[in-house]
Amino acid sequence: MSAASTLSPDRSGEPAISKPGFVEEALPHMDAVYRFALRLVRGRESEAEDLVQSTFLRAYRSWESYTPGTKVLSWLFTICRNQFLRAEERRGRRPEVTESEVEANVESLAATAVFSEVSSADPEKAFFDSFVDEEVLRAVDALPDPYREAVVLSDLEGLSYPELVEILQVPTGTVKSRLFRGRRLLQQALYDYALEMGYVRPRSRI
Amino acid sequence: MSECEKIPCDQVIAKLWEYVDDEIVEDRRERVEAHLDICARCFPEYDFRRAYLRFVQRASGQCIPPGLRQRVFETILQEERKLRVPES
Repeated sequence: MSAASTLSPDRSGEPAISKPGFVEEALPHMDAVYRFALRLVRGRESEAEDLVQSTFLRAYRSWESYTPGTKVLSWLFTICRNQFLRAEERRGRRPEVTESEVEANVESLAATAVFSEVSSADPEKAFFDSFVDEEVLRAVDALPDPYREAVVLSDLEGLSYPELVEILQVPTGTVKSRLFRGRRLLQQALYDYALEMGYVRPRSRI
Repeated sequence: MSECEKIPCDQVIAKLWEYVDDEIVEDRRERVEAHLDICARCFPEYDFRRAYLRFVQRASGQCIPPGLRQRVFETILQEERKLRVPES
């Protein structure tokens, strides 16, 4: 069965997928939900596939509770994240580090560490151009959960602070600090990796 | 702009992500902008953060595998059939 034929009316003339608006509003977001799922599960493709399937199944079953006119992508991301958290629980996975442990770690980084290293070693844009996409995504996947989901929703998927507040169920201040720290961790990880790979040379200290 | 409206670098840096993310309140936006226009220290930092955002956004552009797209359709169709034929 092709994707097109699944969407066209069946012999009785009824649409194959009967809930109004679902095909037009929810299904176009499959790519974004897949990308989000893949980062939630840190690049494990088969887990991401299960997550996308269960997200859209839940979305279809609950389509009546979606408020038309609100951002459907935020609604789908919320479902996806809840499914992810539930699956983690079933697998008995616990967060490997607590947020406060990570914070202590982040605090030890200087506020603008990477920027100042990079801008003296190398023009900053050339620094970013030295990475291939897979290296960036691996670095994102290595971020602890609270920072990874904030950075993915904001920086990879382009969602706003209010949308992050809604999806992550934390106050705006927490969204801002997770983004701030997550970005700092990511930039530091990329910088360390770039040093290791020889993309940049360590700044000479005199 | 009068002297008292000027803001120091550390305050600009503290609000810089909000500015870059386009989430800053309007009156503060103008003051950050005015500062960035004339500050040799803060502007490159702003530029770096913009470059970072363009860079991660570019890295994220993956599409769902065609086979999975198909399986999602099929899962929903299966659910639809369950809705139509009430179990006896």
